[in-house]
Amino acid sequence: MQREDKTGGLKVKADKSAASSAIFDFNREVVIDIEHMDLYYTAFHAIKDVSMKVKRNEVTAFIGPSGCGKSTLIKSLNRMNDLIPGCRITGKIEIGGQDIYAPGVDLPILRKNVGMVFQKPNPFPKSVYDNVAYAPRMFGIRDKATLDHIVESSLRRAAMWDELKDRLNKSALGLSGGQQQRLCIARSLAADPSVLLMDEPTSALDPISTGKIEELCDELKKTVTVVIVTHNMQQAARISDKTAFFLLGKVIEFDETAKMFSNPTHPETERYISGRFG
Amino acid sequence: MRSHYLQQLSELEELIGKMGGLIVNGFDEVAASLIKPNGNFVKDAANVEQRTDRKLDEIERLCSLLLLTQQPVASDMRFIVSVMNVVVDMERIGDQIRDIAETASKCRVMPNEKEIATMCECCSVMIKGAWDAYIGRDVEGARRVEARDDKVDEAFDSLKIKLSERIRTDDDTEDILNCLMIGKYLERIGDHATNIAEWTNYVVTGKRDESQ
Ligand SMILES: Nc1ncnc2c1ncn2[C@@H]1O[C@H](COP(=O)(O)OP(=O)(O)OP(=O)(O)O)[C@@H](O)[C@H]1O
Ligand SMILES: [Mg+2]
Repeated sequence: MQREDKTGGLKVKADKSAASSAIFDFNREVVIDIEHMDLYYTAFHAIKDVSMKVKRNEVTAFIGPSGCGKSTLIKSLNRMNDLIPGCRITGKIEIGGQDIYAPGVDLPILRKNVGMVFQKPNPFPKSVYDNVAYAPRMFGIRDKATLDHIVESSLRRAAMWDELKDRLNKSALGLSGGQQQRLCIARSLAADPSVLLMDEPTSALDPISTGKIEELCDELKKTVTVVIVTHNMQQAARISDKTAFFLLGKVIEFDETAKMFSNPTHPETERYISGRFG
Repeated sequence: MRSHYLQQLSELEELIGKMGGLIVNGFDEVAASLIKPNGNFVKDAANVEQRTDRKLDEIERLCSLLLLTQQPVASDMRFIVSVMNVVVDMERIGDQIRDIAETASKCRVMPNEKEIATMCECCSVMIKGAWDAYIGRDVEGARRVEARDDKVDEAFDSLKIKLSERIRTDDDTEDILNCLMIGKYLERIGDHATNIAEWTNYVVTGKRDESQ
């Protein structure tokens, strides 16, 4: 398949380690299918009856005021909320046709397919190389040449190769914030995810790094379904195909980005995106 | 809240309101002078033209500033896009007011064809109507303006037939041509008023007309 040649990343879909658990099918039209999802942090109702379908090879932006549940929702797409005590989810989330909260779902496989980049860069206290090679090694790749190839192509895709090729063995913690963030993106890409979730990935970046990540989104969507949380309206307008506007845990409007920003249906959306909120 | 932004937007509304007033009054004055010319009508019309030009500059500058600094979206964006178009139609109407006055001043006898009177009446109603509809975001009012443009076109067609008769029989060729020119200016004014009305639809619905 062309997609595999291009990315040079890790292939484990047909791997033995995946065979025993859920089989994801990312060739379907709807990649993420959320139905009547509710999420509670103990008694606090953080996500309220959210339903949405995210299509393959589209970039979807989540926007909305602080505290409306964007991070909560995006984190539940690769079960990052599992560790939070008192967090309870009802309804259904299917990714690649697989109910990700069904019993027997293998979390490492889920997270290999559904990568996540956080707002604050969180590189491991390891070398640049070891950061990027982390997921491939976890999935059993030992061959040096293969790892080298994955590391290089992932860093290239994150627009970092030229910057870092001579510092592969230096600690990732010595990089600047913007470099760390792009390294984390490269680390996610090295797992060859089919879905990439990004929570405000550029909020700490300079305009040049931001531009590179936005370009990356555009490039990525040929092979990856991208969901990005952003507080930057212009960024949402620039890079996404669809936009979802959240308010107090609910999806108020979910539509084509061009439509949302030129002629939104709901007055709340209009008020928020035109800065007349609160 | 983006108070500075909101202030700039209302400044813009105010500016186009003023520009609209210039055109509406300027047109009625030049139309009246076709019936009963006062001594100053050419100068007055030139004055209207210059003032609309200056308003156009001011408005375009404010729109550019808003686009540059505020990245307007949704209805704000549609409003600003429409303003940038509407002011061009307004400025053209200003030009034509001046042209009508200059042409009329060269006539030995003011054109007294009833078609000219009909066109003046229609255009006056259309300019006012288009302006009210645009400022008031009134799609229904805009539709009425668009419908009236057919009347202007009809009157102009009948004027052309009449003048082509006269040119064979009368010998005041220059007045006949001037009358034709004035008719043509009025016909254009009808088109510009229609354009303004159509931008009302865009501000409200995101589409300039129903076929889109
Ligand atoms: N671990 C938690 N325990 C309890 N409540 C939480 C927890 N995490 C988030 N919340 C609450 O859930 C709501 C949604 O939070 P979330 O972090 O998803 O918002 P957000 O839309 O990402 O906001 P921001 O734009 O500020 O990042 C907030 O009211 C928040 O206080
Ligand atoms: Mg958040």
